[in-house]
Amino acid sequence: MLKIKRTNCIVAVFNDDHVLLGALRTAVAKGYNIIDVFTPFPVHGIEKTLGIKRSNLGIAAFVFGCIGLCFGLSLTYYTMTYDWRINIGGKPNWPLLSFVPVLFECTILITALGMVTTFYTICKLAPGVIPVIYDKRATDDRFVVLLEDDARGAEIRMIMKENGAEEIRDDVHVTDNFPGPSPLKLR
Amino acid sequence: MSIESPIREPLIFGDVNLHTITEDVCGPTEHKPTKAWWFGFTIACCGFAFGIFCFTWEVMFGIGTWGLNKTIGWGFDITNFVWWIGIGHAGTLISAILLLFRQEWRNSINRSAEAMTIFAVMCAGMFPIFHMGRVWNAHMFLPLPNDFGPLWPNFNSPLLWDVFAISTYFTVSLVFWYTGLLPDLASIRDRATTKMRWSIYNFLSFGWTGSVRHWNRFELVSLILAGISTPLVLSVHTIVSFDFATSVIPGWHTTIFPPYFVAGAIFSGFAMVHTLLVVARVTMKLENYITIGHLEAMAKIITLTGSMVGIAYGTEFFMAWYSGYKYEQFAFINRAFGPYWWAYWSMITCNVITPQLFWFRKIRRSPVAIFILSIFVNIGMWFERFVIIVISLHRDFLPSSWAMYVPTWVEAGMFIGTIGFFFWWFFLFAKFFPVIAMAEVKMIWKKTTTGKPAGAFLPLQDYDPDKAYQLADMNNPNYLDSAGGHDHGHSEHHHTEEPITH
Repeated sequence: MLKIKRTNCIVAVFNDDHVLLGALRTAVAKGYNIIDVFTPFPVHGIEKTLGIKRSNLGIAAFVFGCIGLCFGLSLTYYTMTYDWRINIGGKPNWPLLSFVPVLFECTILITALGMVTTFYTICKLAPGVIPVIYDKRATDDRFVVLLEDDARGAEIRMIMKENGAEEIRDDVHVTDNFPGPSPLKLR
Repeated sequence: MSIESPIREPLIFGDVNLHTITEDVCGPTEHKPTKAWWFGFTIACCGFAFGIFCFTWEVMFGIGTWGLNKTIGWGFDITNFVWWIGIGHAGTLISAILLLFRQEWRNSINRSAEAMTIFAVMCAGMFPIFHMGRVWNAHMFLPLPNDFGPLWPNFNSPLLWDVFAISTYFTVSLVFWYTGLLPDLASIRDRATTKMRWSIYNFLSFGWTGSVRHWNRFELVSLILAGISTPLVLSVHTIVSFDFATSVIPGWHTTIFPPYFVAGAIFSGFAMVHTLLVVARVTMKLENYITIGHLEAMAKIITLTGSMVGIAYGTEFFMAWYSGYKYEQFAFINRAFGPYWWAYWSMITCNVITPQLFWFRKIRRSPVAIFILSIFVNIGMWFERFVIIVISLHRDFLPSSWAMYVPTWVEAGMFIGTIGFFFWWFFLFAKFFPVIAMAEVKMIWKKTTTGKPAGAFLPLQDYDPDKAYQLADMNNPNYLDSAGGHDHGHSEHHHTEEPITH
């Protein structure tokens, strides 16, 4: 069932990334509340304009790397040195150097898996998640800005139009994204 | 926004804009497959089916169905394993190392190259597993508690390092590739015209929306994954080379093996990327994105790595002589002039001599020549592994145990089977997934087409790299302005760094 509910958001659609950046800068300067921007490719400068900080995923990667290294160390130590020592030609039972390849691979594996899982978790990305899509062309060739429709709604619309927005409309929240008509036609 | 020099060859040709990029890449996933696709897919299925038969035969009757003997314990199986692993190196090199070096030509080819990596590693993994004979005990590769008391794998062994290296490489490549796929799968989802299609691609795209916060993290994740994949890709073939280099067999016991194997892996990987893309770009009509310039850039890497491999062959010979160790000397003389001389000289011809033809620009820019030469490299690199493995083993320290190795139909069939398996996956990928990283190509679209000689939107066939400089219009306001923009519906507004206030 298609459920359509009007929200207090304005959707402004742009057809060029530089026009979009200019409009965003204006909107930020005027103190409008920009909820989100949807683009088909990463447009550098938006995050700076909106004051979004650089992600801390690098720290997550480092922590997972340390966990991976500790995992590798404990695995090799437990199996080769602690649990069942095998005398291989009288060689040492804790040959750290020959563990290096395994330690390295464990570090990389846990770093990659841990960091990517963190990324999916904080972005709330998972198989089967039904996204809220404001304009289907945001993954094609349009740049979509979602603004809060507060008391200055009319002013926001005008400023966006002046700054090159191709199209401005009220947002409608569609719970079932498919196969119903797109929000475009339902406004 | 940065602008490239006008004499630098555009990375995208033709009358292309953001929407046509989406159309061109998503199109093949939305239409019924072409006749060429069915033809190729059927052949791949036949190869795959024959492979299943041969693998089953081997499991039923054991390793005795192979041509191995007491002297030559590694033959086709390990040759194929190393060959496939080597092919699997180009994808991660393109997606990780070239990302760190900011080589933007990688953006059009990284998706398919990385898919190729994943399929090649799957093929590679089968050989050591089936070489065990008792495949049902394959889990004993892993450090798992088992039925035989507290008996663990030996972490001193390069063969166990291989297990870790290859499983890590496969997992990290898969994660890297799939994370990069999300935005493009979302593009396909948003174009879906049926509920079924929407549901499938929505499931696959994890609910990607293109939000600025997601992109912000996405780019950082890609960068870190590239950073950790770079040492990983170098480590994998290094560890594969340890399988040989840590032994005492003349011809194997060589300290230059790690760099030599890594260079060889990149060499053969790029050759396979060439083989696939020269065909795919034409059959899938992607010539505007995978241009002659892309093929040329890869040809240059092939020449470089091929020459490195050539130097390694020479160094091995020199070291054999210089070491004064007569068994080593014999091993190398036997390589070149023993009963397997034809394998050695095929290797030299295909790996060292023919890739040098890429010094000529005409050859480097001719898809037909590239295709033929890439096949030569694929063959040459297969022979390299055969030479190293079989020729080093067949005449060892004890002349009474010298032997010859002839593969059986089962071994040949298993090799054919993995080739079929590889192409089976590749055809499915080309049909159902975006073969070009759309978001990444869109990112460089404006930069690479602005201010170029005959402007952007140049038909590919009209581009002549020799004339690019003369054609470069230094007075082109778009170029000097460093603002970007041509009148194709985009970028009429110039971008300035200061915040715009009204």
